[in-house]
Amino acid sequence: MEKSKIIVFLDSLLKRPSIQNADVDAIRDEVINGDVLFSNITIKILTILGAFISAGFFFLFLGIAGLFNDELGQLISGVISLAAALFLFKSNKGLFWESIGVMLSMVAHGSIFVSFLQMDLNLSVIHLVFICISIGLIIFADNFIQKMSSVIIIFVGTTVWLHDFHLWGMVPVLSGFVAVALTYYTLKETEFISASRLNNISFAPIRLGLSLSFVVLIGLGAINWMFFDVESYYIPYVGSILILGCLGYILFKTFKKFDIQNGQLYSIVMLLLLLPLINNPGIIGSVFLLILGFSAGYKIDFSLGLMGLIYFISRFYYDLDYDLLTKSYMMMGTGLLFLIAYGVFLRLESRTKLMKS
Amino acid sequence: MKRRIIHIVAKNSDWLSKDILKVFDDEHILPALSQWKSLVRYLLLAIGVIFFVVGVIFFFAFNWDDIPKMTKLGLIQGLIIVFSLLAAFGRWGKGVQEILLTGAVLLIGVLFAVFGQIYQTGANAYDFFLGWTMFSLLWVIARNSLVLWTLFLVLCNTTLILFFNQVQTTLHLDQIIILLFALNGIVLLSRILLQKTDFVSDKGKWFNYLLTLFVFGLLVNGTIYEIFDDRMVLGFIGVLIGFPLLYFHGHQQKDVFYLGVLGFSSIILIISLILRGVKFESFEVFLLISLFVIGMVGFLVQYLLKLNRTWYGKK
Repeated sequence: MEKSKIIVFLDSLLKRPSIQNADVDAIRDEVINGDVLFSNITIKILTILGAFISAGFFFLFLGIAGLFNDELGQLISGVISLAAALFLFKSNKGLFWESIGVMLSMVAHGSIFVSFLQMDLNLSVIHLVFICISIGLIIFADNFIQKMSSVIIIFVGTTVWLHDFHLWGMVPVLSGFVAVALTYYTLKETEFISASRLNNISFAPIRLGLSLSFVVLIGLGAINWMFFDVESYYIPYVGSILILGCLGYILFKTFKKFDIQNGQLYSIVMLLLLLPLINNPGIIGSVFLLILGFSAGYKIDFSLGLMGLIYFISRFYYDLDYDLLTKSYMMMGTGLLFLIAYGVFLRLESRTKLMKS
Repeated sequence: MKRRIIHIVAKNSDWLSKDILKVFDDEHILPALSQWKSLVRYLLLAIGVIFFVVGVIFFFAFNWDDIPKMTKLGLIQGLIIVFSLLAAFGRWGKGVQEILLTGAVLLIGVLFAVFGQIYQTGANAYDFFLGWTMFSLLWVIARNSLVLWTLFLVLCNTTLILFFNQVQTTLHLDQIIILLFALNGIVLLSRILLQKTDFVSDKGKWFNYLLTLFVFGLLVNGTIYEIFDDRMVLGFIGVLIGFPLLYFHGHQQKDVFYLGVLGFSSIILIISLILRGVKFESFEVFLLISLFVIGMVGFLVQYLLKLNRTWYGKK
């Protein structure tokens, strides 16, 4: 978006009487001169890749130099790296120093993790420490990538606990709770960004972190628990019910927003159509993410939901224990149902247009 | 972008949540009813068609052994004709026509596979892909769609790789990769030149991005192989030709993507040269590389930001 168009849009926004006590100079400075608007996806990906490769080689150096042998030294160097990273994030010196901060943070996490492993600490205790570190980084680190990564560490790392306590089957339940958090957070966007400065700058990275965590969790939940040598009970339907609840809420709010008659009925019908898939949180989760992404205008969520839908549906039919003929009848029947629904929808649309005219 | 600006304004003012929501609606950040209706229409149609078609395929797959030879071939040929006619004369939008034609091109491969299965011609994978590529060319040129061109390039590259694996086996792996870089590079260069002369539309940036990533991925890959095999001639020539062209094109297009690819490729090649020179004998080199990478990436990011500001920060 060219600077002239940005200025026109900003000026039109600032003229709105609903905006009170605006620090116009600070707004113009951040919008027009800030790195954010001139930094596109290429620059963000370069930053992440560079930090990742640099951290990898640094770790290789530490390993070969034998610096992993001293667990206390590792821990101290990890803490110092973390402190340095935080300092760089807070100092706001620009994208260059922030990318060094990201690299130091990756090194810090790796060093602390290795030192705890060498101290023979339980994985659950290690994860608890990382949850505390991540919460601290979310609050204090003014960096998009750091906040987003911290959210992912909290939720995806919790699967380590589940594995340790032989509760791998609870992964779909965890994904259900993440879905609830993601729905609440996304739909309350305007309230969060207007609440406080911390909430405002944390909103986007936390939301994206929740989204990516949800995708990883429904992927992990779809992995056959038999691969893991744990005794676990597989209760995917609890997670699916939570996700369906969130989906129902989004649909209900959407129908209410556009004043559609019988909106509650349509929402219930759609949920009932998905009910047979309750043992497959992958498909239900993908539909949820697709609808949530579309309703809130987030293309990443929409795309992830669409890709997930294609993958999980393919996987569903592949895993079905029926012969090809039965599967073919099921798919043709499902396809025909959707095509009939398409025809009905077109008819309803044209009837509504006729009534309006 | 608009969303980001709204967030910044909200951060620096007392702006109520309900008023921000109104702006989201006014600026079409949230979808309107018409967009929801389009989504429902496309989803119902796409899911319905895909499920039905896959169901039909599964049906024929189940009964495949019982279907006579002529029926098998006739079925696939019939589908190719139907898809092509619908794409040419159907009254659907461009998107649907492209899907139909892509389906027809894919079915050409299926036809060859079935032919080989029925008659046990003894053809190898190279012959199969060569035939598929040659017979797809007409559709690709006629439609001139980027999706079809992408599919065609995949087929061409697969055919070439199989040629060097199965027919002409004298070349080394790095020489094959550099050759693929050269051929695909010529395709990319031709497209760029045709776009400059307006012979080809400027639309479809994604195709240029994808092809650039592929071409320079091949160059870097091949050059790394040559560095570690002490045979740096072809890769070096590729770098001398490709990198300046990419730099020039990035500046001409005012697009940091190309310069980002150039910068990152350079960093990877320099790392390879350092590792080759040191021959993994000293571990301090890893610390040096770590500092080098973060320094160079930081410099590259600053440079790209500065360029973006210069190009797009005009009043």
